Amino acid sequence: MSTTTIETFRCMMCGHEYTEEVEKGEDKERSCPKCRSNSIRHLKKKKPAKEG
Amino acid sequence: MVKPDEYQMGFSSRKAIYIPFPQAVPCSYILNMADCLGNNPIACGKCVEVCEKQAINYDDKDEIVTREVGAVIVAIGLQVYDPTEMDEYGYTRFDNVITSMEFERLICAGGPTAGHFVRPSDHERPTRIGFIQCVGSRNSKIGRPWCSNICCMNTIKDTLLLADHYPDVENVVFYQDIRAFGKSFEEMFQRSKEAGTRYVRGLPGDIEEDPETHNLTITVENTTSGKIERHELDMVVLSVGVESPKDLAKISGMLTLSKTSDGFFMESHPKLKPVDAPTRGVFFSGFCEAPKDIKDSVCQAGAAASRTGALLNAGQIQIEAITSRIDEQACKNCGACAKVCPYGAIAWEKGHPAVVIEAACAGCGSCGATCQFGAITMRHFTDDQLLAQVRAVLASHPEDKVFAFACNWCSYAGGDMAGISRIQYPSTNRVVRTMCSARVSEEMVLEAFRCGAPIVMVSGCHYADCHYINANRQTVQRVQRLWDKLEKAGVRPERLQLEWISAAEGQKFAKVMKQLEELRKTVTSKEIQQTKEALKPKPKKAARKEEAAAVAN
Repeated sequence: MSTTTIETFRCMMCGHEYTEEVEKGEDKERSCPKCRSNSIRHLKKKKPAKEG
Repeated sequence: MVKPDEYQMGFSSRKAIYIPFPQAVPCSYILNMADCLGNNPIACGKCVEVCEKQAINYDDKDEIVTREVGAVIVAIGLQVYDPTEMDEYGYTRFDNVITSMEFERLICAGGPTAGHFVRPSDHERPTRIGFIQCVGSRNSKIGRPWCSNICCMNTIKDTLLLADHYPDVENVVFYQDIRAFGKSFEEMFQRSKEAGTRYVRGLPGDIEEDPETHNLTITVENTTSGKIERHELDMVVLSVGVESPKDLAKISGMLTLSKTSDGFFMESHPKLKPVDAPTRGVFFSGFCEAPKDIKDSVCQAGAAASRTGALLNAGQIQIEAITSRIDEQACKNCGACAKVCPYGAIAWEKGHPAVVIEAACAGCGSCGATCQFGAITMRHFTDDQLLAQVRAVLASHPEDKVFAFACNWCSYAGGDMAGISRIQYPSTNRVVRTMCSARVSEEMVLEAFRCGAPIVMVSGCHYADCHYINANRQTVQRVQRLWDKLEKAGVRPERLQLEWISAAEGQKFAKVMKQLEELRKTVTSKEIQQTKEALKPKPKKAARKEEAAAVAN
């Protein structure tokens, strides 16, 4: 079973949005690939709306 | 009963009763019951019959011994990289491709061939031997970017051994860099070259085998000459790297130790406390902290023993003054504080109030920021003291200020560095110091916004520098929750910023302050008023319910 997922992040300093492969339980300091800021917000995947 | 001998890397065999290796201490036989064929279903007893000393006890088992100790030295060693995954080198396909560990056994006088160096496929003596460096080291593609430290000198030693034993042997070493920086190491490297070893700068892409002769062909780009070279060799030695041992995670959990990104234990401070673990009373020796050679391991072992002696002989220990205190009456027995403590310094049992073990508490304040019931007081950095600072700083003209929480060890010192380096940055920032960024609670950030702060920054140490093992990971989670909360309340989440600034990064501190000042200019008075309204404290019960739901998600 794969332990990596593709996650979306947004830099709260410059607004740059990007995706990155994330390993389950990884302990990694994040910085924006564009401006190097550490204000990186992990954008959670929205759960699909229930039908009906 | 015959089994491959683990010590001889499977090149010879052993029985179920054996001496693990010739230099074993004590040098006595062991009986491996898992291998004993006579132990089915009960022992045949033949070994007991012939043992005059009556030293065999079938019922002897491993036992867990409990000891109370004042200090622990962690010296759990290393394990060697298994090159099976690097199929391009054919370790599992070609008999004559061996690892540097296997080479050691083959060339050793106490080895399976009594020191007569032969190649595994036909037991003939090889005359052309290739060494490939950095197998499982300095390779980000396979997630192993670290240098294993010992392989270059080990290969140089091997080439000298071969040149000494068999002057007709041609050695070729394929490398990306030769790191010979220890005492007399450069001279040893020069001696190896003078002895005829050829060093080719470039790592081969793959190895091919001649099915008839079992000779190996390596194609490599010599990056010094810029030419493609083909080398036909009798044998190839993969100079394998090292990695942290499998048991490291287990020990890490037992002693609340943290790991660096390469999987080795993290020391308390890389320069000033290289043998101390962040958990007091625990010291490191050898490879488990980082790859190092024998000399460095011996030095570290001596240092660890000295540090232990100093600790145990002092007769008293100095504990941190800035520690947490839990109010038993206010504690709701939830255990959230115990979960976030990086030191395991909070004892908690379900249904009972948590208790701080003061000798283990280092004072990061993560527990205080996590407690939703105000049951934890952080001495010298209480909620009331910090909130009073927030209110005082933002008492007048808050709209003109960039408000920052900075950790004592790195970010605050980074600000100092910017100052003493005379680096210019906007004077609008106001900094409140906490011991760790993890001490900054959600309430403190929200209070800053309620007081009219246009921008709030939480800053701490870089991940690898966290002075409280990994407390700043709590900061990340808290800021993530705050971003969600602010967005939900209709507040622009980018008004809350998170930065890791080390004590040496005065430039970064100034750069961040300039960026925040630009961001501050985009926040209008109307927006600040709306924020104040949106973040007005809710009735306590409802707010707690919301907090609990956010933590659970």
